Amino acid sequence: MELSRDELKKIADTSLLIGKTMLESGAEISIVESSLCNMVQSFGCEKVNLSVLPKTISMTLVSGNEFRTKMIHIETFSPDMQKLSELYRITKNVTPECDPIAVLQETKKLLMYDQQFNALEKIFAAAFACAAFAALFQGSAVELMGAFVAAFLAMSLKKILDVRGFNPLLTTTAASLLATISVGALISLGILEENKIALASSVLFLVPGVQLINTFEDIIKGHYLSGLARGLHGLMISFSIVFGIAVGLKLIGGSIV
Amino acid sequence: MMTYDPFYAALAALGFAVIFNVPKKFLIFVVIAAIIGFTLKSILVKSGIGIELSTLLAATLIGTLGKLFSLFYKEPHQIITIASVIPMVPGTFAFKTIISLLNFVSSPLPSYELLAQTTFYAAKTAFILGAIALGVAAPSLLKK
Repeated sequence: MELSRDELKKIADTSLLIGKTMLESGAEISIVESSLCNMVQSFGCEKVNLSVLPKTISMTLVSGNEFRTKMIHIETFSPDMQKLSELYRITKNVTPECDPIAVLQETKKLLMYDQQFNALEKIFAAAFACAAFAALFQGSAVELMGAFVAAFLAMSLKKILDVRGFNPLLTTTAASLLATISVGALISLGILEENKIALASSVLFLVPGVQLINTFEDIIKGHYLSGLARGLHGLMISFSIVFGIAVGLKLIGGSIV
Repeated sequence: MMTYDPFYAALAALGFAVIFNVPKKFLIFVVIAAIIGFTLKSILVKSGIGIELSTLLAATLIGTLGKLFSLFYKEPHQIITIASVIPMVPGTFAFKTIISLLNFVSSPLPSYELLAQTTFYAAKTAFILGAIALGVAAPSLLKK
C-alpha cells in the first residue's frame, strides 16, 4: 500500500524524535540506525535512506512515487539507559497496524516521565561509587571518607550547573576543581594525610565512559566520523577534568603533589 | 583488603548505573557483570598477565555477557556493559599522568625524566582505556 505524503511526514517526525532521544541518551549509531530502519519499514515505507551523525539525523522515506526528507538536530548528551531501553522497546513493537501519531504521542509521554532516580540519589550514588574506587585503590577509611565528601560536593555542583544549562565542559571543569579544593581543605583541616587516592577517586564520576565506549563501537562498525566526533568529545571532557584539577592544585598550593 | 575488591567494584558499578539511570530491574545484572569482570581481571593480573591484556579479556567477557543479555532481553547491551566496566577505569594511572604532566609543565628546565614518566603513565592509561572500550565492543565484531 502506497503511503501518502502526509503519512510519510508523520512517520518521519515520529522516527526522528525517537532517534534523536536515543542518541541523546547514549545509544551507539548502529542501534539507532537499525531501530529506525526497522520501525519505518514496519510502518509500511518501502525504502529509507538514513544518515545518523553526532549532531544530526536526516532521513528520506520513500513509498511508491512519494518521498519525504526530514532532518533533526541533536541537542544535549545525557546518558539515560531507562529512556534508551523504553525507546528501543517502542521501535521493536511497531507493526504495520500502528498509527505513527499514537507512537509519537507515546514517545512524547515517555520524554515527560520523571527519572527513576532523583538528583539527590544520583549525588549519593556518585559519592558512594567514588568511595568504592578509593577502596579499590587500597585507600584507608579516612581516604574513602575524603573521596566520598569531595565527590558529593562536586556532583552536587555539577547537578546545579547542569540544571542551569551551563556548557558541559565548564560544568566538568568546575566539578573537578571543587573536588580538588575539597580534598585540599580536608588536608588543611588535618583530616586527611595522604591525598592522592582521595583526589584520584573523587573525580572518577566525571569520566566520559559512555562516549569512550561508543567511540570504539562506532568505529568498529564503520561509523568513523561519529566515532571520532564522540571520541573527541570524550577527550575534551577528560581535558576539562585535568584542567579543573590543575587549577585546583595551583589554588591550594603544594599540599597535594 | 583484596578479598573485598569485587564488592567495591560492584558498589562502584552500581553507583554509575544509578548515575546512568539504568532500569531498576537490570541493576542486578550490572552488579553481577562487574563482579565477574573485575574478579577475572584480578585473577589474570595476579597470574602475571599484564594489566592491559587482563583488562581487555575482562572487558571482552563483560561485552559478551552484555550481548547475551541483549539477545535474551531484547535490550541494547550498553544498558549493563557501560556501568559494569567502569570499575576497571585506570584512575590511579590517570591521576599519575596528570601529576607528572603538571610537574613537567611547571618545571623551569626540560626534564627528560619527567617527560618519560608522563609518557609512561599516559600510555598505560590510554592502553587500559582502549582495552576497556575495545573489549566491550569486541563481541560486536562477530556480526556485520
